Amino acid sequence: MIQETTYQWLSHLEGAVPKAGQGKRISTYTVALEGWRRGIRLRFYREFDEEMKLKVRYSLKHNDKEHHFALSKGDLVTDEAFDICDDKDLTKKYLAEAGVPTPLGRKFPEDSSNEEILAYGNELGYPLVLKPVSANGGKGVFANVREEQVLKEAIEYVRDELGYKEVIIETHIPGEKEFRVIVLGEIVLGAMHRIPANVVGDGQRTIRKLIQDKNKFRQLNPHLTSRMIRIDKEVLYMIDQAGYELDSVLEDGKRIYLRVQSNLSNGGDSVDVTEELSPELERIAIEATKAIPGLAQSGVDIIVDDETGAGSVIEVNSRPGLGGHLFPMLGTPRDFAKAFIDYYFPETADYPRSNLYFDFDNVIAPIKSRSATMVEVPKPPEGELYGKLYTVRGNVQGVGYRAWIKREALKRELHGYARNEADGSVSVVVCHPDKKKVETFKKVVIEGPEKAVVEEILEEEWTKPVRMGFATKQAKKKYNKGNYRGLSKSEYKKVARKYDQLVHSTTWKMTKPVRMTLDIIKKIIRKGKK
Amino acid sequence: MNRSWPPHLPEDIVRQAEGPLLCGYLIALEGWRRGLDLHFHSNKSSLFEDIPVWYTHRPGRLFTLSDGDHSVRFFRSRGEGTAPETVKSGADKAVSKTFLDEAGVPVPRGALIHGKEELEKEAARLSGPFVLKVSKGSFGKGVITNLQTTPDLWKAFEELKQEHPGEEILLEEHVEGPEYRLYVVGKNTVGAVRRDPASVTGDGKSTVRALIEQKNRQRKKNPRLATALITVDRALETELQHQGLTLDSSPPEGKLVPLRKQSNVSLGGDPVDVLDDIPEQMKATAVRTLKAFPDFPHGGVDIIHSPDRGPVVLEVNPTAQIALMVFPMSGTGRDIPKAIIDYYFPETIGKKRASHAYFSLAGSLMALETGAAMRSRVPDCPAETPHGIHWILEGDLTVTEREDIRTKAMELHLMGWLKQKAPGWHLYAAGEKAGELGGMALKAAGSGAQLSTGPAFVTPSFTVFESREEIRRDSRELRTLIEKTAKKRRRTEKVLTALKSSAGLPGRLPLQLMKRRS
Repeated sequence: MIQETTYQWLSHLEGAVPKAGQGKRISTYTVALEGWRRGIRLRFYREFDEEMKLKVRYSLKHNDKEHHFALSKGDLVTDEAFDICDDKDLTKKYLAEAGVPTPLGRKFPEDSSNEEILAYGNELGYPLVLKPVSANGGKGVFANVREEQVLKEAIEYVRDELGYKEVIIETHIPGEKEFRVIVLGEIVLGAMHRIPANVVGDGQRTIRKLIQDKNKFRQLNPHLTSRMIRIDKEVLYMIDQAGYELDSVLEDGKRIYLRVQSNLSNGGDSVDVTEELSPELERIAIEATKAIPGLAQSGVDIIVDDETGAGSVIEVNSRPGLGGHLFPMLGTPRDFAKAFIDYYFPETADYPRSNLYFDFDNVIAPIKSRSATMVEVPKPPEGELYGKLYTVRGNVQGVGYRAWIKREALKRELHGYARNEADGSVSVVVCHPDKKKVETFKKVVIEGPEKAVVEEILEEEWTKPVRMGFATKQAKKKYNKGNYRGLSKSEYKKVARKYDQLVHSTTWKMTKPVRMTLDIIKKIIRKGKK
Repeated sequence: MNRSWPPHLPEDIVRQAEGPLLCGYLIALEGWRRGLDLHFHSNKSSLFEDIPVWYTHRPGRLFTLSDGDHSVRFFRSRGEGTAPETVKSGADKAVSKTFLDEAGVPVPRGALIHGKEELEKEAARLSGPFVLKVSKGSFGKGVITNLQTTPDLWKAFEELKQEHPGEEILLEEHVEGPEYRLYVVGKNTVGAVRRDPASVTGDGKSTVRALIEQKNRQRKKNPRLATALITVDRALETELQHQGLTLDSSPPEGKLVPLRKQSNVSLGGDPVDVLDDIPEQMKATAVRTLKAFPDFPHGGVDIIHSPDRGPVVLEVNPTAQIALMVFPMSGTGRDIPKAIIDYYFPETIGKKRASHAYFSLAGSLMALETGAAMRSRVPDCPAETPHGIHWILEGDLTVTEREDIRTKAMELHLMGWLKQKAPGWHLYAAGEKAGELGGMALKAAGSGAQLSTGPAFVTPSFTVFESREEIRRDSRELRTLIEKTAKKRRRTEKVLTALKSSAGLPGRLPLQLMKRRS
């Protein structure tokens, strides 16, 4: 496999994911956005779960038909289906009844005896997997247990020595490849393969540098912006196991895995494998979805047997995350948000899609701060937008140029932004369904406010998504070390938190004697100077 | 001055909504406290298309209250019960007068004037002194009073024509007497204030200028009057001249110096509560006034009490300011919002009002303000007046600790706040698990004590208040701290790598330092 260096984006989502929609809210945002862009009324509201945690939910309403959504799950998935999927044991029962291949097995509660478990293992037949219910980083997982004696020792070790009383026993399937298949109704939309956090060497960079660069690359992906590979004990252990150190240079083309689990939130990668899906696996995924009554949409996890190529269903999710499919690390991005909206609102399938997106940050901020329980997003203007990017040079910064452009743009109901660039120019993007309005805006751009002197204008067409309304922006400011002036409240809080962490860290405390000695030496030197 | 305002509307809560948002906020708050659903809308909403509204580009003026079965739309203090035609007629003084005349409500005699001939004819028919006004004016603008002779009238007419081109001009007999603003809801007059023109009272020492400043300071303490201060302009100076005074003269003690002719509150006038003092006849006239219009369930009526004609109605105001009756300059504040909600939602009359709960207006409007949203729903009001515990925390709380307290409060589903008040912090939390939060906060702060238990004004959320100076001071301190720390850290790292690479030969370190020394 080659190391990833560029992404393929869905053009209508490129740069269209505001901060609040990145990471764990990406399914919520992208599905809501797809509906909203077709002119469907969109409302966000809050709900509290059993632990009284605030959850953001949304509803879409078109021609008196309203659907409520939670993440990627719409209300065509019944509560019963959701409950079944939530309980892995129960899921298995339904799957087994419908004849869907699934590793046989069951969960044992705290009060069951070791003998009871062993007896069940014998009954099930070998090879087996024994794992604690609350498994932590693969600790206490015994895969491929082939005989009674080993199982007996494993049970004693896991339950009595490690203290994980609740365990699961199931048939072992010798496979490395796990597919996440998205099913909608009776159709397979696509599949993704998740691989644990990893880096690929180039014969020059150290592993530390490779991780840093990979994180930078992940930062570009709206699904992964907050899902970095953190260097912790597990990562160090894995590097050590592979026979390297954090600062050793990795050979060209060599891939090492940094974690056991393939969760994307732990730094894992998603790879689109829709093309690799065999008809057999598709059939299994559809049948697994059908096996659970009321499950209109699902994400089915299938593990494939290395030897026989047969698939077994490990898990069925009623609200699969779409981020890995929409923004894969490698492979073709798949627009399942569109498929979902088509399914819930088939009559809107041919509606034109606006290339605006809404200000999700400001929409959910009042819900998160609990000052609003419901927020309705204003509809986008009808029709497809025509856009232009004007790059304006001259004396245009620090003369009120952007504010003036904003006022003029809002007057004309144009959407877009004006941004001060680092080279002293201003980029002005304007969009409107009426092409003429956008083109005549050039005059306004040339004119500028009184103090501005416009010397040169470059224009090009703009087809990328634009946020509804008109914003003024600043090219990203870099805070130099020691320059903390002009920190905003939120930035300040971030820095304060970091500072707190730093001074309370063990390293900081441990190096205290060193620092103190240095201070004393410094004092002596100063005195010597005098 | 003697005044008492409704205790459930304390100043610091009401202060969130100043100027044009105040009346709407008072009504929204009353409805919300009774458990009604409250939504705010932006001007992009199509919901208000059939209702006359204005200046809605900034949110807060459009809202709906609903009890599940029916929903009522409000624009500021006006509910949807008032017909759009009534709003239009109310804005036009000439049209209002024809409605009132027909219903037999006394109004000043007068007529619309279009030219000189008409002016002379009408002036001869009526008796002076006269008032000329633009038919659609408001806020006391476009009114010229105390006109005696025909040449004066003509001059004033020309002046108005020039200043308000295309507007119709009304000639009226001047009615002498004190001016009142009454507020009617349904069949009852629920509020009445006498509107005294802006004035100051001499103390024998201070100049008029100083007295105005003094009065303005007093007005700033009033939620309604804070944005209606007395401004010194030419009209005010002319008025003083007529009395033989300037801004720098010192009127004798106890002397009342009127500063304007117009009694509008927005021009510095004083609203004085008189609901219990005015004759029943005036109240009845106000109620009849509303009846004269089609669909006019609640609104304001301006009345002059003439010694010979009794109450004479000057104009009606379907979108009247109610705040000046809730927070008068003196006298009792009347609960007008209650009367309005009683009218629209009679089934909630007996319902207990959560009088200690309020919502953050800025928070509710946040998403509308940025244009990101079209409609925003305010979190439900807690059903009962929350009883909580108030702690005083000695010692300081870091930003992180404060944030942790807030997160914890949210988790425990508590309402309340954390405020800095020298020398420490004040914490108030209401809810089942308030004690748990208190314990945590006390631990974080080091020491402290429980101050009291009981109700306090809270939003259905937990807020950490930070003063601006504190943020500035903190960031200054933090900046130096970070710089120091970063420097030290860099140096430590250097030393550590130096130690590591020299593999047990710490000789390199002093060498470096020696170099610097030389």
